[in-house]
Amino acid sequence: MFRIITASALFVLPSLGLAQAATPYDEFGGQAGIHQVVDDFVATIVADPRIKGYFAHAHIAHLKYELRQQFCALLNGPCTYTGKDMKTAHQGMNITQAAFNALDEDLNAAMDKNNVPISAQNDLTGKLAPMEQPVVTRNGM
Amino acid sequence: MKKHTILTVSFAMTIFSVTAHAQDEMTLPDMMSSGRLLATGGVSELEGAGGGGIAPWALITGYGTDRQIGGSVFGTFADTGKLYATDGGIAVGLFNRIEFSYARYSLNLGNQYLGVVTQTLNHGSNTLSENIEGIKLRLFGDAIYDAYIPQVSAGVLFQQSQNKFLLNYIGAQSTGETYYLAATKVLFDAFLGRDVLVDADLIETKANQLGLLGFGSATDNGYHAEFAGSVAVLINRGFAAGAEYRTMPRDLKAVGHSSNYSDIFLAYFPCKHVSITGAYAFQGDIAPAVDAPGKSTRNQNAFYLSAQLAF
Repeated sequence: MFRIITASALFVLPSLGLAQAATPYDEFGGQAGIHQVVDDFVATIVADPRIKGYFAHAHIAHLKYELRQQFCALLNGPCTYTGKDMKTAHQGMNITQAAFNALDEDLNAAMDKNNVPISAQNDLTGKLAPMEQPVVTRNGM
Repeated sequence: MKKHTILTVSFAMTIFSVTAHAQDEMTLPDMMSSGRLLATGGVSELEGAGGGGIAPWALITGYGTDRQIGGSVFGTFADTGKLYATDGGIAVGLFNRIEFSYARYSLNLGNQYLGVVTQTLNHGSNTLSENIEGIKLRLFGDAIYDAYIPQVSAGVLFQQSQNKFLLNYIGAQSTGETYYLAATKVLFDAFLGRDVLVDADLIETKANQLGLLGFGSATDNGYHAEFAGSVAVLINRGFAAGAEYRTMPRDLKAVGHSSNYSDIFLAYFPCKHVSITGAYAFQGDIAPAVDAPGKSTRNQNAFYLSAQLAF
């Protein structure tokens, strides 16, 4: 009996170790993967009729730079986000919840397109969700 | 609180909020453009509220954001092989804050009809049905955006059970209110990399079999604290699988032992406007003490199919 437990422990432990080794950052494909997702993501949002108005005067190259840095940091990659905090960055833009969610849907599409595993997708969207609070302009209801 | 008081207060809140939103200069198509995320309106539970199948959730039905309106219609069919239930209704959600719902829920007893209906009254009806009007108010929190607190809503169901002959016979009232407090939270990347929705409800009710067998009994007209809970794993975008449980008052001695409900389900959301839910529901004993001779409403397990259209 003891031998069976030991054997199964030997079998199970390395596989648990492997599961832990694949961080969301790795699952994204590191910097190169994040780069590709952000490129596709930004291409989608600037063309999305629901939200493209918000980006009419945006500096696209800078936006991509900030997003790469932010995603990398959120995914526990070797980066530090150096941009403005979310509240400051979106002040006065009158961003609605619908716009915030449209952006999230476009991000999902970009991650799907790049075959990002669902666990890494959920890790990132789970960290972006609380940003609704500082990003969206309340309607007072 | 009386029904008209609750409805008046909520109507006043609605007028206030509509007035407050008029200055947003949103067009009607904008206000109906389904700005919430896929599946975040839930489906329609048996009593017509936005929820799972047997538990109302704190989520407001449909896909309206804090500046939009949403809504849903649904139809549900459940078949135990001996009995079948039909259920349908409509609901609106205003500014992701208030939900109004209406549902009509019927249980056809097939040839298992309750003995008293035909024996003592020769009434001929083998269907129990009720109308349910519901109102739900989101108190605080957001199931998606708030990192640590759940979305919490309070609701009231105003129920009217239709089969007065049977209700008189078993000593139950034909109308009743059910009050609930629901807390719902989506946990991201929580189980095998999947997002998980968790809901817990505290319910104050007198309803027997969700009100199909009326409210209270000749010997007990008090409210009972009951519990409902749901867990749903969002397997992939568009697919959710889970289980639910709901306890029921058990004091209507005239119909014999009645059971708690539970179910396991798979829901598919091909887009925001359509969802289809298949479930296997365990409803236990319906009313064994008044079964027709040689028939039984015990141990009823049902295949359950529900479709919802939403915006």
